Formats: sequence, structure tokens, C-alpha cells
Amino acid sequence: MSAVWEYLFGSPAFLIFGTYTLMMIVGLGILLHLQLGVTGIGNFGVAGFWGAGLYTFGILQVHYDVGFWLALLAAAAAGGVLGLITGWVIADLDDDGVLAATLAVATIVFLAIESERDITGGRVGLGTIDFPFDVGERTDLAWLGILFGVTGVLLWYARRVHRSPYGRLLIATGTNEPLARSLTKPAKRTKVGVMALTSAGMGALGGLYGPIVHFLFPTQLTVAITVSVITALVLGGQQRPLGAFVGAVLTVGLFDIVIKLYVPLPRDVLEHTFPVTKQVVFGALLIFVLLFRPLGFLGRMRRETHVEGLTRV
Amino acid sequence: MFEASGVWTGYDEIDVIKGLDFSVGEEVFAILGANGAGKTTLLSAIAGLLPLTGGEIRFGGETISGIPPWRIAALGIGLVPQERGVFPDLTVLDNLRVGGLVAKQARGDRIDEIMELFPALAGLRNQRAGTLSGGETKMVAAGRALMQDAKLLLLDEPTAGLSPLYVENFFDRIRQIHETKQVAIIITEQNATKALEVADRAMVLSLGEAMTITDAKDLTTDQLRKGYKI
Amino acid sequence: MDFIAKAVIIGLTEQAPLVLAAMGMALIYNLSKVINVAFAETITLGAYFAQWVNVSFGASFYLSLAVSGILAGVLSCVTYLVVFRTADRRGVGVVEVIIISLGLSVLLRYSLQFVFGTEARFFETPPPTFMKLFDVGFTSFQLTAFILVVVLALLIYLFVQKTVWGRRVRALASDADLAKVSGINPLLTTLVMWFIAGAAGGLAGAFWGVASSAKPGLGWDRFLLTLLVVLVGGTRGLRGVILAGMGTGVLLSALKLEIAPLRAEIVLLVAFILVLKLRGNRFRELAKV
Repeated sequence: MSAVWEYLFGSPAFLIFGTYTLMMIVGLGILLHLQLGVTGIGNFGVAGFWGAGLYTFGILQVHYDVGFWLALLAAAAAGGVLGLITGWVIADLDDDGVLAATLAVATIVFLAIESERDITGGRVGLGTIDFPFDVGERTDLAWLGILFGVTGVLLWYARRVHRSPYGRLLIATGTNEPLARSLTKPAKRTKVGVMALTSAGMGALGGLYGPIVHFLFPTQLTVAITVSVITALVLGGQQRPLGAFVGAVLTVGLFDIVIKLYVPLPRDVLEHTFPVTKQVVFGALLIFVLLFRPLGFLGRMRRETHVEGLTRV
Repeated sequence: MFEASGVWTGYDEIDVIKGLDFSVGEEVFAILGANGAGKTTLLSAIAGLLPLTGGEIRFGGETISGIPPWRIAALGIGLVPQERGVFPDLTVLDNLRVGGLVAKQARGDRIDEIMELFPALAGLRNQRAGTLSGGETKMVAAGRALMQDAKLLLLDEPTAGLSPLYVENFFDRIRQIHETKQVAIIITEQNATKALEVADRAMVLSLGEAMTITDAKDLTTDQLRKGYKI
Repeated sequence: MDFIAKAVIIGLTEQAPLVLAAMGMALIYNLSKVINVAFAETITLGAYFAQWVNVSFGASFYLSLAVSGILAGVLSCVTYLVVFRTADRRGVGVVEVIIISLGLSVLLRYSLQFVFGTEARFFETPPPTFMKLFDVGFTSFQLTAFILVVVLALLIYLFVQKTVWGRRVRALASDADLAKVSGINPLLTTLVMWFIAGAAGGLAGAFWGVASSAKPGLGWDRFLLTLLVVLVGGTRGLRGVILAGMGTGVLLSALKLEIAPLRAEIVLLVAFILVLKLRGNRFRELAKV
């Protein structure tokens, strides 16, 4: 028994870090669910909003010694302001324009971090960012607990949105915006608002990531994050709040925890072949799921299935 | 020349045309009926845009049901849809040239013939079809179909939305096309009076079924009423 | 005057491949009505194909270019048949198709690393002659590449505007059903256009690759700029795409002459975003060929 325990939890730091990544993707996925799955906004710049929060938090903590809570608030604000501007830009655009604009925003964030080396550290990096509290050897575990809590709150919020008039407005905007507008629903303002709010959430999650990695590099902001989040959401079910969680467990959980920690791969395979294979699998999943099971693992919302049943009768 | 036997077709699981039988020779054949009778659906099926769920369509002795629409066009059936009868981003000339892709006769000659038939188009050759008036658009649409060297023209409500002057002109052109080009024409119309003036025979369609098929001059008001359910 | 001359010469010689890449993407967008994110990998693979032929077979760059264009065109057709046609038949929505194309891009980008590795691969070309115009230095190779790009862009434009096949493509893009009943075979016509679009992308990749190296992120790094050129320039058809591509190259060079390169890219992207915003939702009329 103790051998099993040792096998499963013998490398707690790696397990905790893997779980951080998982929960981060879940949190971003829930927020993307509200953007894409509910309001129909195809945000391909998730890494940018998250990165804006990450670096805002890092810069304030490292250069200006700002306290944790204020820095976290600033991280959320950074994501939120960026989301507000992006929402304003994309409110009039069709899906292709939204792709271009959100991708452009993420690229601008990345380029700004690389170019303004004096404050961001550029490729050299920015740090050190410590946990705001110290509970001894397992502070990282406590931080993981906080991350679980935050993700739980996001999930609770998303489920509440689905049951609220605001949620119905988002769904109407996402399903048929011209019709929503013709019914005097403020579709554009709704899109701007949801982008601002959810991007603030992404920025806050970015802020929470800083203490986990302690040191920030621009390479943490690549499109791979956006791809991981989109893959998790699509696989789990973009129309379901729990979709991101299920999808993240099946992708990030499988690759970054189960295989990475427990499958005895040779070192060079782990360092080179494994990350490449992971991306190949993610790419293939995006294609196959959307072609053959577009609603993902969880399918449609239960209340819609129920209504369909009534309609059939 | 053309024969439809027991034709069934529709959209998804809904049957719009139900077991239709009719034939068309070297003539102008009018299909009359109210909105929702299935006129457009029928022409779309003949042109190959809709699959049949039952029955058969034959043209020139060959079964054409089930073959792709571009092969049906090459066999000599030209469709002028009610809406979207032209390529809006292409010029008038390019629209006609597209029609000529399947024609055997040299395109240049045919374009001259179309310009003679529709003189109003002569000055509009390089204008984008999407910027034309309703009547001009219908002329280009008909011209495009004629460029295909069609032996059978399918005209779906060609005068819908046109001014009375254009309507009058257009029906004259239909008769002229039939007589000078030896082209059989199937024309669907809600304007029964005008259609019957140019047609040789007519069919009244109601909810996907033929109520009456008779010579145009013999179609009675009662038969029409039954079809339109007035 | 000196500044303008520098910006124009540098911009046109360095960014000429952007015109080809944007034309290829615009052709696909116009016909299939989707932004194909995986087009980035067509560009990348064009560079790899050309480098492979150049180095493995000792072929001249220009022969490698021809082979690369053909292979990239074939790859483009395969991706259409396997992925995009399937998506179209299954009625997949616009956003979902974009995500599918993102998935295809990721799949291709990382798969090719199993074949070509991750290190940069260089071409073997004879040493260039250095030239100067208005005090701006460039190589004979850059000049040749620019001329070739202009010729290829012109050929693609003429093909689409003046030939029978080009008319088929424009008709199919304008109204698919009407094109079918006018005798146009949609599958054949679509494949011809995807081949040409893929070849254009692959050739752009080859030009970019020979100027730097063939590497996994070559196409992805240029995808956003190519996309923005298509969205902004495409409202005026292929001519607009050509002008927007050239204008973007010159503008980027001008900015880089004045400010740091990374900041210049930021300014350019912000400018594009503002243009997108000003244009609003008139994009659906765009990408006329």
C-alpha cells in the first residue's frame, strides 16, 4: 500500500504543478465557455488576456513591491480593460474578423512583453514572484487549494449565468444576433460586457499563475495555451459549463499528469517527443470532435434535451 | 422530349412534390399554382439541385434523375431561378460567358445573339450584374441560360417583382425565344393570365400534386380556382 | 525622399512573398468562405519542400521553387478533401470550421517536426551579388525574388480574371447552386483553386525560407499579417490584396526605420485593428476575386 502511495504521490511537486496546469486550463476554459459556447465569440487570443494579467501581476510585485491583493486586482483590471477594448473592436465584426482581432490582441501583448524588456525582463525573464503566504513545506499545496476554490467559484458563476436572464441574453446574442437586436436586445453592449468580464477573469487567473512559476518568460504566453484551452472546451463540450473540466481532465490531465508522471518514458522522449506528440493529439482532437461530435463529450445542455423531448411529444 | 413519372421530392423529411406525372414536348408549358404549391421545388429537382425520393425524370430519352446538376446542364437543360439568377459579382459579359461554358456553339456568336434578343444589355456588358435593375437582371439570367445551348429552359417565376412594362416585354421574349431558338420552355408563374397567353399547355399544381393538365386555351377559371384553392 | 525610397525598396524586397501568401489565402477565403488557419503550415511546408529538394538533390533554388509549389498545391488539395469538404458536407458552422483549421494547423506544424526536426534548415544557394539603390543595399537574390513574386502574382491574377477556369472559380464563389446548373463541376473547380492557393502559399514560404531558413514556426509567424492583409485588402478583390500586401510591406519597413522592430509590428497591428473596427461588419461582401 505504501509502495502504491509512494508511486502515486512520491513526486508531490510535479504532481502539484501538473494539477496547477490542469486547474488553470479548467478556469480559462470555463471563461472561454461563456465567450464562445454561450455568446458565440470565438476568442483565439486567450493566451493574451491571461498573459496581460500574468505580467501585470509580475511587474507590480517585482518592480513596485505592490501587495498581493492589489497586484491581483490590477491583473484582473489589465485583462478586463484589454477585454473591453477587444469587445468594442469585435462587436461589429463577423467570425473571421473576431479571429483576426483576438489573435492580434494576443500577439500585441506578446510583442509588448518582448520589446519592453526594461520592465518585463523580455526573454531573460521576470522574477522572483513568491507566494503571498508561507505555511511551510506544502505552501504550494495550499495554493493549489486556492486555485481549486477559484475554479469552483467560476464554475458556480457559469452555472448561475445559464439560469439567469443575463445568460438567456448571452445565448440569444450567440445564437442569432440580428434577431436579438431586432427584439431590442443590446447585443453589442452584451458582447463588450461579457468580453470585459471574462477577460478580467482570465487576467486574474494569470495573476494567480505567477506565484506558481515564480519566474515569468514570454514563452509562457504562446498559442499552445490557447490551443489547450480550446481543445479542452471542445472535447468536453463547449455548450456546458462542466465541458472545460471534463475536457481538461481528458487532455491536460492525461498528458501532463498521468503520462508525464506515471508512464516510464525515456528522458529524451519526455523532453522532445512527448510535448510534440501532445500537440499533434490536440490538433487531431479538435478536428475529429468538431467534425463528428461537435457538442463534445457532454453534448447539449440538459434543459435543451428536455425541451426537445417535449417538442417531440 | 421531357417526362416526369411518379416524381417525389422535398426537403429533409417533408415531401413537397407527391407522385407527379407530366410530359413536355417542343412547346411552352406553364406550371401554375399558389405559393407553396411546389413550383420552385419541382424545377430545382428537374435541374438536379434536389434529389428525388421517388419516381424518375427523363430528358431526350435519357434518365436524368440522380445525375449531378452540371451534367444535366450539359445535356441541354437551363435553369433560370426566381431569385439569384445571375452571378452578382461578375459582369454581364462574364455572366453570359459562364452560361456558355457548356455550349457547343462558339461563345462569341451566341453572345451576339443574346444581345440581339435583349438589346438593353448591349450597353451594360461591363457592368456588375449585382448592380442591375430587376428587369435587366432577369434578362441577364435568361441570357445566361440561353448561352448554355439549352434545349429546355426552366423559368421560375421570371416576371416576379417586375414592373408591368417589363412583364409585357418579357412574355413577348419568351414566345420569341421558343419560336426562333426551337427551345422548349417550362415556365412557373403566379400570374396565370399572362402565362396562359404565351403557353401551349398548362398544369395547375396544388400542394405538390397536379390538379389539371390541359391545353392553355382550354383551362377554365374553375380549374384554376381549384388549384389555387380560392 | 530618401526615407521613402528606403522604405519602398526594403518593404518590397523583404515582404514581396506576403503578396503571394495573401493571394493564396484570399482565393480560399473567397471560394470556401472560411479562414484556413492551416494555410500557415502550407507556407511552412513550402519552405521545407524547397529546402529539401535544394539540399537533398542539389537542385537550383528555382527548380526547388517549382517542385515546392506543386507539392504545396497537392497538400492543399488533400487538406480540402479530407477536412474542409467533410466539414462542409456535415454543415459545420463558421467558428467551428475556424477551430478545425486551427487544429489542422497544430497537427501539421507538430507532425512535420517528426519529419524535419526542430532545427532551422538552410538552403544551399550560390553567394549573391550585392547591389545598391538609393543607398539601400539588397542582394541580386532579393531582386530576383521580388521580380518572380510580381510575375507569379500577375499570373495568378490573370488566371482568375481572364481564363475560363478563373471564370468558373469566380462563378462558383459568387453562387454555388447557380454555378452547378450552369455546368460547373464544383469539386473539380474547387480543387483547381485550392491547388493554386496552396501553390501560392508554398511559393511564399519558399521565398521566406531562402531568405532566412525553413523552420516549424515560419508560416505561423506570418499568418496573422497575411490574414489582416486579406481582410483589409480583400474588399477590393485580388487587386486590393496585392496593393494591401505591398502597402503593408512598405509601411512595416518605414516603421522599422524609425522605431524598434517589435514596436513597429505592434504599431502595424494596432493600425490593422483600427481599420477592422472602422470597416465594421462589411466583411461579408469581401474577398471578391
